[in-house]
Amino acid sequence: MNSFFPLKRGEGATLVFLIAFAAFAFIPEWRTLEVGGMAVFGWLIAALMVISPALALVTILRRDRSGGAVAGAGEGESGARAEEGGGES
Amino acid sequence: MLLERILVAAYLVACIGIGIWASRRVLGSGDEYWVAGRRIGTVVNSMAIMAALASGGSIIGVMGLAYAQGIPATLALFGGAVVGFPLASILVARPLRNFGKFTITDFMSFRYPHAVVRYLVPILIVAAFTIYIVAQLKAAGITAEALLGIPYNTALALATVVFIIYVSFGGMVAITWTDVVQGFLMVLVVGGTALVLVWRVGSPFEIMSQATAVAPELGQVANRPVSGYLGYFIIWATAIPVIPHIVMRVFTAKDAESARLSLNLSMLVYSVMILAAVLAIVPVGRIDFPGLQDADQLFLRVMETQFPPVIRGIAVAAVLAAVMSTTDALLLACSSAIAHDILGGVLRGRASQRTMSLVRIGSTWVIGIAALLWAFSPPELITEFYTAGVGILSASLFVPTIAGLWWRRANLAGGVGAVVSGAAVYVLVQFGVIDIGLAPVVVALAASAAAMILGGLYGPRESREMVARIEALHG
Repeated sequence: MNSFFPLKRGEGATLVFLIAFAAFAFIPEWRTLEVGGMAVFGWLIAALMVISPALALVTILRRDRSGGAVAGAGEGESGARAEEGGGES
Repeated sequence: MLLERILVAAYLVACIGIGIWASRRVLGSGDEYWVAGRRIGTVVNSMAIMAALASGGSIIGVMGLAYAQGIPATLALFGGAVVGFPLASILVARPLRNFGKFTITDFMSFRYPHAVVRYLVPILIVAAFTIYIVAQLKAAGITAEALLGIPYNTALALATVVFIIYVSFGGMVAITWTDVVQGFLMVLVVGGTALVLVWRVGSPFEIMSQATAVAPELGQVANRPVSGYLGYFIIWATAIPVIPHIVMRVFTAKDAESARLSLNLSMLVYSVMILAAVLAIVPVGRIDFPGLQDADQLFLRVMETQFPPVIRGIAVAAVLAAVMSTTDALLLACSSAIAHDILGGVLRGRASQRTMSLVRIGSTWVIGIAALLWAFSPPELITEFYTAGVGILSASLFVPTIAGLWWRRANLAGGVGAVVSGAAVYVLVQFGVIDIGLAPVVVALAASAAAMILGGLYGPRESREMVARIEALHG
């Protein structure tokens, strides 16, 4: 049995891309190279700030469209809460 | 300054009004008070999340930090927060929303049922968030002092009392609706200011090239140690998936998919606002005000010199909105750490609903007043200050939360070890007791991960029942 709970393929790819992009942005060469008065590192992080939520949104919406959304999200909720004796209410 | 004061007074009265309106609905129920009945839709939750993250640090602080330390290093800090949201939406939003409780401590003490987790986690939250609240109060105080002419201490006391009233009586419902108003106000003021400045000068690139011609350090990062800005980035990227005031927003969503969408929608808006502030307003301010003693004053100086009184009044309201929209969420998270996580376990079943309501209201007032007293003697550079506070939460909670949700072998020994070692190592490195030339959060996360792996591999195996429960949360 796999030691990890499975991640959906699109979501896994998004995570890998974002981590790779962030690692690329922190490459030392980008600290000294400047474009338009600012280090390339700054421009890469600025791009990452727009790309990361946009990409995650696309990933989630594509899952929804392809019917991969979680069915009955409330089932887990009621299950977990019932098992734990509910919360303060 | 009369017009500015009237605008701000109207805004504060509106906040109290929302709190009183919400109190009729929420005071009798923990579900309503802490998570707004779990009925908040995607768009409203997005704006509330954006406002909760966009603090005084995101208006006053981001510009002060960029002015003092350069734009690239500043973007590393705020970029880390933005990247944290996709991580949160993919790794924690669905299972935590399906878990369906109130706080991150609820999940941690369910996954790792031990007194150390049950009590240490809320204590860390209260400590870190009190620091965070103090930083926000400073932003409110210096803004009101600079643009309204109200003495710093008076402004602090006034703003604090207003948000304590609407948080303590209106709970998450009041916070949500005030945050939506506050979010729109922030986007309007920061975005509008940036657009006006760009229109006057020509283009963002023109502004940048003019500013970096007179102050090249504004665009540089090579003169700063990598460990500093890498540490900023990692702190925020790992804090967002576990930071209590954001996690509580996951619990308020109407379902798991709505929570995931709203996390990312909020960050698109937030990113545009931060980039507008850093790439347009900061360069203009750097040209006009080359020798500011307190860099956090930059936005206020720009507003004073570039805009008429009405706009300045709206700008003060926007900064107060930024401060209050984050502080109210922090205050509720702090209050939940005391009233729900610590006292709730002791009082549940013994205390009446009325007593529980009084405990919730009382804990909000205690935290708010403690932060107010500290804020009378505030620290410098607020963004650095509260980032250090948030670091202890990411160091102690990120690994056990993610491992607890995704690693079948995560167990009690690993979880307790990860929380304790993450917090302890972060404090030791942050205060210089251990110095190995790396950012404190990097060392602390490594220690936390090592404890989790050792506990998971060599400690008692997790029960099949617990693994099955976690599997069910993934839906």
